[in-house]
Amino acid sequence: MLISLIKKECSMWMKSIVFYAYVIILIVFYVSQLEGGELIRKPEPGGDDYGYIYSDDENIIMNGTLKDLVCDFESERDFATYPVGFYKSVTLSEGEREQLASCISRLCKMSREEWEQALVEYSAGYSVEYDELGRETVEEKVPWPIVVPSDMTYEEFEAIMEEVSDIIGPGNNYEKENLKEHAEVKMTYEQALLEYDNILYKDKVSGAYARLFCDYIGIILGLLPVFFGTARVLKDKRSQVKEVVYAKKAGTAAIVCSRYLGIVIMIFLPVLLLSFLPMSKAVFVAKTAGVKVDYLAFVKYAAGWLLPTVLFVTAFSYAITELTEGFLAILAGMVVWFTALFSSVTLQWAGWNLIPRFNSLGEYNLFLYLRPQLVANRIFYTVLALMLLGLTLTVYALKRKGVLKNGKVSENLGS
Amino acid sequence: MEKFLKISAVNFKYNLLPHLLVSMLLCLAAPLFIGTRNLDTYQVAKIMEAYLCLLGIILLIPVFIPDMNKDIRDLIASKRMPVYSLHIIRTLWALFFLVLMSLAFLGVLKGENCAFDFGEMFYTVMANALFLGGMGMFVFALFDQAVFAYMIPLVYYVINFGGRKHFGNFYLFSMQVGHFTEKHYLLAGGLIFMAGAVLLRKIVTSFSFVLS
Repeated sequence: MLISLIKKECSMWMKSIVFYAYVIILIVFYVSQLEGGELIRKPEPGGDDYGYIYSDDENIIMNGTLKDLVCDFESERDFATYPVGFYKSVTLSEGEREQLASCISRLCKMSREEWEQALVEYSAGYSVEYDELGRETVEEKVPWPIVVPSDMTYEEFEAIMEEVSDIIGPGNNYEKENLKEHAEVKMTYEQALLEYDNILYKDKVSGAYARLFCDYIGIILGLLPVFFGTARVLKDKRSQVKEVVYAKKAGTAAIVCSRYLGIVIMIFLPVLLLSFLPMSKAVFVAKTAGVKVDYLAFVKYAAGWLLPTVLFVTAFSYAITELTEGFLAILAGMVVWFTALFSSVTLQWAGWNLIPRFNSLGEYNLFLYLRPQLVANRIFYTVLALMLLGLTLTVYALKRKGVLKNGKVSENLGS
Repeated sequence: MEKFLKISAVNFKYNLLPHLLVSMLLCLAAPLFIGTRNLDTYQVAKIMEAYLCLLGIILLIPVFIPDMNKDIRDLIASKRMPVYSLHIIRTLWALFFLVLMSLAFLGVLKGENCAFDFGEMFYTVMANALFLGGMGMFVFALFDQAVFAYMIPLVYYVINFGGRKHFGNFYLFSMQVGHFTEKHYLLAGGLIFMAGAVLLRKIVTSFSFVLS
């Protein structure tokens, strides 16, 4: 019964304009964002740009962190924190700002007046220009003046940063484990070569491309399934067949689950088909370098990384639309998508964000470091999706029994 | 006038209100997502172009939702009052609240010590909002599919984050890199979309009524 209902659902989507719009959008998004992108090449000695890496050098970590802290402090904007993985802005009181300024003074061993004056002089010689493509060119006439003195030990620095972290609150960018993220430096040739070997032998080339594919496609999959869930529920309402379906012999679970799985299949299949394009690029690179390629990498990454997003967003829109029988799910989905996309700490981060990011080709070691949080994140959204599906089942069952009427919450409360 | 007030009241109660509440929520929730104090002109432009312009989608697309049902549409078409008058009244109310909320939001930013040209930023948010909302209205009128009408402008908005090279003068985020010219095109495009949508809806409604 379930299988035949799923087949019916899929064939229904095959006749829907929403499905074809989705496929076109997916292809356009892929082509505009990923096609023609970089190929993995062996680094040549003597190059001037091998990309960036986080440094382990304590001096670089200390000075990078201090610079970011001063910039954050002087911008007078709220501090971004992620106490439970989600974004929360923190506004410091005047007293807390005074304490923070005192920490900065202790870090650079300058009085507040001295470092503020130094910053004014630096800012006067600093300019930034944007070209046609929005790329920025920075010009600094005076080198950055607020630095950690050479006699400060890393332990002393960490102790002061702990105070800074306590002032701002949990989940901030200045916690002990996040300090390294302030020390982004250019990669050396040797580091670039090691990175290249990791891509060839550990990632088997296709893994690196699959991560980048998931990063970009995850952005659009955080939003598009919303339209399917909403469209499916409203289709019954518009065709005025709700009562007819209620009277059918099929069980509630079979009806709801077949619709849900039908949507998930119709969303996920085009993604898998689309992955053949970057896969062919990975095969080309692997063949050129003479190494083996993992042909299943895209399927594995897509199933583990993208499928939970599809499951959650579909369940979310399905549940809200079943409950309200309106377009609220689209607006709510838009808010969820917006929040998820713009609350990523960096472009390589998962936390508890619906749209995990890994916007780089390669960086295998960084991925290994982030993998546990990515796995926890994906399990969390899968469980959440199942809970929402359970809610949808309950609502639909109550509607079928006539306990809930139109799906309008206000009407149900009033009756 | 009496008819105008009656239609406005019904539109407000049964159509506009939930969308208005979502719009207000979007404005009030802004400080949770974005900094709103001491911003320079580029940072304010970012809020206008990437955040506040979504009000256009939320407020303008629902203009056609009440007569999505064919029976209701036929009923409206049978009345003496032309259907486009009804749509124009709903559109004007959506525009009124769009203008009101944009002005209030910009006023708050001014109060938060942000440095920007008020008129220029107002024009920016209106151009983007009208273009996206107008696009949704047009898609709605063309396909008679509300979900599709939300989908297309939202996807257009998302794809714009990939950069300006595919969009030319219809690039949404030009003010963030100091380009204002695109806003004239977006505003004109938005107005054409809206007018086209009302006209198209009139034709569709009259045609289906005559056929039935």
